[in-house]
Order: sequence, then C-alpha cells, then structure tokens
Amino acid sequence: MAHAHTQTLTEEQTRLPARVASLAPGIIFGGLVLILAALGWAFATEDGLVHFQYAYLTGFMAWLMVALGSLIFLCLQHVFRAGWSVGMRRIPEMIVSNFWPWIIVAFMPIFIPICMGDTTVYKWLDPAMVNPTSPLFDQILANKSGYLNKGFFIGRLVAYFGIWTLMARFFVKNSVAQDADGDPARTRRMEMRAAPLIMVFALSLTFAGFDLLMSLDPHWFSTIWGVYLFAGCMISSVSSMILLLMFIQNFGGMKHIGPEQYSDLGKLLFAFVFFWGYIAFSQYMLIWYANIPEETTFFHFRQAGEWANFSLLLLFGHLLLPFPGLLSRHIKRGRKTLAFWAIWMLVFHFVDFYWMVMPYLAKKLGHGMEVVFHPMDVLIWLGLGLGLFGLTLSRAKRQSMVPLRDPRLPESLAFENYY
Amino acid sequence: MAGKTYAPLKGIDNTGDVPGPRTPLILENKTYGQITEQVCSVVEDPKVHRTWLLSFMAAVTFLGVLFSLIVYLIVTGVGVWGNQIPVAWGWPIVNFVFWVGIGHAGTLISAILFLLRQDWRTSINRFAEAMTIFAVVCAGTFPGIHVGRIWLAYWLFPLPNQMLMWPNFRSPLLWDVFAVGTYASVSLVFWYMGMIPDLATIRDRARHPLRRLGYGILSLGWRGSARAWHRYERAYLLLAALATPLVLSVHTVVSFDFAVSQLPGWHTTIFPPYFVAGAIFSGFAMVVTLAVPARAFYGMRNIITMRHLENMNKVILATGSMVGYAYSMEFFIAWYGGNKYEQFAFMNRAFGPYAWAYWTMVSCNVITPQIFWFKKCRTSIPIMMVAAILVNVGMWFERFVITVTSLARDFLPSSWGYFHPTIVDILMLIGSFGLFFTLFLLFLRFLPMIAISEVKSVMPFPKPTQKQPSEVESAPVPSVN
Repeated sequence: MAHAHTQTLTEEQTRLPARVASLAPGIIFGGLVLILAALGWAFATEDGLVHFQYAYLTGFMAWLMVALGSLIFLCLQHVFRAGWSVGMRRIPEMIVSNFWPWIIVAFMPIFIPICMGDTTVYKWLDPAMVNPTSPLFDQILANKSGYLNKGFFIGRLVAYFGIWTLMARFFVKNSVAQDADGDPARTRRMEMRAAPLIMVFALSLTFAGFDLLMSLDPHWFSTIWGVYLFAGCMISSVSSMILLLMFIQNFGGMKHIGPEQYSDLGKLLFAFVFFWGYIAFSQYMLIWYANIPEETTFFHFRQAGEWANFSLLLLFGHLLLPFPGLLSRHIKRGRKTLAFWAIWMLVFHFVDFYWMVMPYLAKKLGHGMEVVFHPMDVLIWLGLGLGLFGLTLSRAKRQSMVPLRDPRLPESLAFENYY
Repeated sequence: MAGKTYAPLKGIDNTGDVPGPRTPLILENKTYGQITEQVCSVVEDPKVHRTWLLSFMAAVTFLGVLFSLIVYLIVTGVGVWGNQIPVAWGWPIVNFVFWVGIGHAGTLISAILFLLRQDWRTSINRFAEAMTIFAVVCAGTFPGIHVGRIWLAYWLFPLPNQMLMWPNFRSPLLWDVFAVGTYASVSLVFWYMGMIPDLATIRDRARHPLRRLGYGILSLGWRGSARAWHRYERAYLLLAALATPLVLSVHTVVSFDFAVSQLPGWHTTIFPPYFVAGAIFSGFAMVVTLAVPARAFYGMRNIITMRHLENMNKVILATGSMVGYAYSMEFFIAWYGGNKYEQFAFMNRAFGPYAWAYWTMVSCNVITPQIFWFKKCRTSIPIMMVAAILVNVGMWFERFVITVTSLARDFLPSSWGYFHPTIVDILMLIGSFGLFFTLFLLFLRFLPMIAISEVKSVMPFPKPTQKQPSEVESAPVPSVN
C-alpha cells in the first residue's frame, strides 16, 4: 500500500495501558460475584440447581465459542498470510491463551457432573437407558451406545480441550517469542502448521458440538450441526475482538488500530451474520420440508407455545436486523455504531445458545411450551463473559500488545481499506 | 511507459514467500504497454494457429454429435436415455449438476476473491468467468431437453396464461430455474462489464474498420475517463457483492433438488454447504485443467504464474477436504441417527453394486487432492494436470453416486434395479464437452483472455528504482524446522 502513511509505534502504544491492567482483577472479580449470586439464587429457587446446570452450559458454550472462534481466526490469518490483521492479532492470541487453565477450570462445573454420571443434563449417561431389562430401556440409545457412553464421552472431552489448549499454546508461544528474537521462520512455521490445524479444529469443533449440545436430545441428529456452530463462533469471536480493542483504546492503548481494521472486522461480522443465516436456513428448510418425525422434533418444540416467539426473536435479532444494520461502510467504520452491533451480536449469540439448550430444560421440568427464563441465566452468561474479558486483559499486560517483530507488521500499520 | 523496456527476468520462482515483502504476481518485469501487447496480440493475430484450428474442429464435431442427439431425442422421446424406473433421474441430472458445479469457480474468483482482496485473482478471473458461463450453458441444456415436450419448455417460467396454469412453486426443480437463471444472468453481466475497458483497448488498436465497428459496439463507447472508471469501479463492487450470495445460492438450490426429499442418502442437512464446496472444488479443477495448456500455448506464463496455479491447487485441497468432511459427516450421522434405511443407503453405496463408483469418487475427490499438501506436487505441472482431471472425474462420479445409488435401491427390495446408461447418454455427455470447448475456444480467439486493466493494477510499477523480483528472491529465506 504505497500511498498510505506509515506509522511508527511508540513504546506506550505497544503496552497495555496501566489503567486497563489495574481494572482487570476487578472485572474478573465482578464476573465471579455474578456467578456466585446466580448460584445463591439457584439454591433459593425450586428446581434451581437443575436450572443452574442448564444455564451454566448455555453461558459456557456461548463464551467457549468466542475462544474457539479466536483460535480459528488465528489459523485463518496465518494460512492466508494476512497482512491487515497483524496489528491486532494479540487480541485473539490473548483470548485463546485462557484455555489453560481458566477455560478448563470454567468447564469443570459441566465436566465433573459428567464424570460422576449425573444425568440432569445428559440423560443418556444413565446406564439404565441402555439396559434391556430396565423399564427406561431405549433401543435407539442402545444402538448408539458405542459412541454415547460415559467413558468414551469423557475421553473425547479431554481430547477436545487438550487439542485446543495445545493449538492455542503453539500460536501464542511462537508469536510472543518472535517479539524477542524477530525470527521470520516462526511466521513460516505458524503458516505451515495452521493448515493441518484447521482440519483438526474442524473435526474437534464438530464432534464437541455433537457431544455437548446435540446429544442433549440423544435421538436427534443433523449433519450440518458443526457448520452451524462454526458460524456462531466466528460471529461471537469477531464481536469480542472488536469490543476488547475498543475497550483498550478507550484507555489510550493500541492507537494504531483505526477505521481501516474496524472496517475489515465489521465486514467479517457482516459476512458471518449472513453465513449463519444461510446455514440456519438450510438446516430448518430441509427438516421442515421433508417433515420426517425423528428430525422435526427439534424444531417442533421450538415452534410451539412461547418458544415460537423466542424463535422469532432469534430470527430477527440474529439475522434480519443486523444484516441491513451492518451493510453500510459508515457503520463498520464508526466506533459507536460498530460497538453497538458487536454488543448486539454477542447478546443474540447468547440467545442462539439459549434457544439450543433451554427448551430441553423446559421439557425436563415439565413446563411444556413455556420459556423457562430465570435472571440467573443472564447472570451466569454475564459473569462468565466478564471473567473471560477480564482474564484476557490481565494476560495482555504480560507482553507487548503488538507483535512487534512480525515481518508483516509494517504492512499492517500502513494498511488502507479501499472498499 | 510503453516503448521503454527492461531486461526481462525469466525463470523467477514466485511461489516462495518470505514473510514480509510480497512476492510479485506478474513476472518478467514488463511494462504496461507490453502487457497490453501480449494479451491483445492473441486476439489480433491474423493467422489461425493449427493447434487451435484442430482443437476447434474436434470440439465442433462433438458439438455436432450433441445437436444430432438432441434432435434424435426430441423426435423419439426421452426413452432413448437409460432413465428407467427405479432410476428415473439418470445421467441428464448428473450432467446438469456436474456442469453447474464447474460453473462455480468463475464467479467465486471474480466476486468472492475480489471482496477478500486476493489480488492473484486478476490473472485468471477473465477466462474463469467465461468458463463459468459456458458451463452454465451446458448445464442448462440437460434439464431443458429433459422436460419431455420441449416445445412447452417455456412452461418452466410462471407466465400468466388463459388456463390459469402455473408451475409448481413447491418444487425445487422450479427454484432451480430461478436460481440458475439469476446466476447465469448476473455472471454474464459481471463478465461482460469487466471486459468493457479491455474491449475498448482492442477497439482502439484495431486496424480494420469492421473490427473497429464490432469491438466498438461491444465496448459501449468506453473512453477511459476518470468518471467512467469511477462508475465502473462502483458497479464492479456492487456486482461483486450481489454475485457473492449467488455463488452460494445456486448449488444450494441444486442440493435442494435432492435434500428436500425423504429418500435415504438424499435427505441430509449438510447438503447445501457440501454441494457448494464441491462445486467450487470441481470449478477450480476445471480452471487448472484449462489454464495450464492455455498459458503454455499463448505464452502467458508470466501472467498466469506458478504462484497462481499453486494457489488454485491450495483451493482444491481446501475444498476437497471440505467435501471429505461432508462425506464423513453423512456417514457418521447415518450411523448415529439410527435410521436403518439411511444406514443401508450408505452401506449400499460403499459395498453394494455401485461400490466401484463410490470408491472412484472417494479416491478422486478426497484422496487425490491430499497430494497438494506437498509443495512439490502443487508446483508440478504434470502432477496438477493429472490431479485436476481426476478431480473432475471424481466430481462427476459424486453426482452419479448420489443420484443413482439412492434411487436404484430404495425402501422396497422388490423394486430395486441397476442403472444402465445407453449409448445416447454417453455420447451426450461427450457432446456437452464439445459444446463447452467450442465456446471456450471461440472466446480465446476473439476476446481478451486476461483482464488487462485488472492485471495492471497488481503489477509493480516498472521503475528502475523499484525493487526487482530478483532482489526479493535473493532475500534470506528463513528455514523452517
């Protein structure tokens, strides 16, 4: 980009502003308080602990997608040898560096009950369901017990989180080490490994989606499920990156990121809003049209009673409103407008996961067609989100906020977005 | 700039990438004028090359075969095909889906890669788009002649009539008419609009008044003013944005032809993105198949460089792996879903009477592109030609497997059958290649095969002070351990 201005970075710009670093523990603490408040509320409510488990799964999965989206974002930037994003690449790197240990720690309230064979959320963990002599016996589950059984399930979950942790470690370690040694071979190594890692990621995301979300109704199945989750994880991670960037900038950091990069992030957000709509439509359309009972159960329940309105909320909030909302170039380049849509999409990303998980709770509690909303659902989601953002920021003070010696940093600083 | 020459740099390997400086896309350090000369001379050459003529005659011969068979079909009836209960959808729909798929690369390259700022697209977009349009022509032929009473083919369109008869709006086959029709028209407009500045260049260089008139009409009075360029760029961006969802929608609707049904092996939710990935996969394979001989024959190696071919091979690897992902999801969910008809459909594909077709498909589509993990294979002309042709074969077989295996053995064993194509089926498929190549060869001869103005936009400005590709090359290449 020959005619763009070349910027020089000051020492101050490359570091996390001291105010942000001092705020981070408070944010984490705030998140923790919200989760504890939700837990307290759960104890005081009838069926509260059951509700808590479902709400925790919803909130955790919604934010896990942010971390996974950041991971695939890093892979994609490396595999495409992208220049524009180098200046902001530390943001996704800091998000994924939370896999070890904090995302895994946050997963424990889901993982430990699974290990203990708790059947509140995953009813198929009940061995009686595959025991032919039991009154609960389910032939369909018995047929797939080779896959859906406790031991294999735990093994797979360990494998997914292990894979993601190692992937995150690889990218963060090399990128940070490059700040010190400036070795361009690190860039090459990340580019080369990113391609096969995308395949590993695709399979791990898909099967984790089958395991943690699709198996909530162990009879139901959809081959597009993994792609649907992928669309959601791109939307939520790009939104989170936008908000974290703006937050740091509000305290005077990372001033080298301007409308040029925001414009591209906005375009990605727009593209994946559209892509999500495409995938969600494909899944709905094909199941609705063929009208096969074992498939329609998923939508049938979400299309009746109060859930029908909730589904419409998802349709409008996740697709029909943000699509025209993000069309304009001015909106994507304006800080306030882009921040608005980033927050909006994070909220509706949560609504999406609520829509996937919570109807099963309504069914379980025998509430029929009611949306079983409880304020603790939002408290948990907010608490986990604050935790993730706070931990990301507190990680960020350990090193430069810019990949200082990335060979493509000059290109990124001089980057200009023509259209 | 024209007139001043610099020493050409031959044999530069621009496939390597030192992180940091961007490797040049156009080689041999030519001036703008030389690039214009290089591309236009193909169209302006008064001599007809023998190789071109022989290929053209061969293509026209096969086109003649196709036309005669279409006449035979119309006179006799669709019974001349192998379509027979239980497989009432045979090769015609297989060929239709195959050709629509081929027609996906062009618009992806010109629209989506444009929005993604992939500058390397400029060298290949023009003839990839041309190829798209010709492939859609081939695709449209098959359902067009499959309607039975071809003189009533216009009933495909919802035309008001005194009988108050309308097409069935609930049928995905009707959606196909709209999807493919929209795609064809937008692709055509995009292709033509992008060509206007280049057509004007040919017009301005034309010596014969008839040529000047012909290209003059085609170039719509293009003067190259700043205002014209401004509007051109705006229109190009808008068309790219409009064409992007179309790249997805066409094959999505084609996949609906199968997936909205309740037939095991056809009805699965991943079909739409899976078909789109497969279409891009086969489209890029066809671009490689055509680009390699064309660049050699017309001496375009400096414009369509090894880097361009390597990038296309990477796209083939990526989309081929997506197709492989879809195959495995289908297989896994067929088992996981627990529906025994679905399970049977997949076991039947892999181990039933059509196992030969299934394994041809898997080895061509999933295993073959994996060789592109290795740079040696991505940058070897013979290997990529073989792989690209195998991918084309595999993608034809994919549609054959999907269409025929599910129909041949459905729920009721007493109505099972085995599909046999007739000689008409086989010759029509070959004939459709004749149609495709006839159009493509005419395009190469009469229209600029490279987007001249777009290529110039990604050239390093040929100043002596500019860093030469040779200097970039000699920069230390980091070792990777």
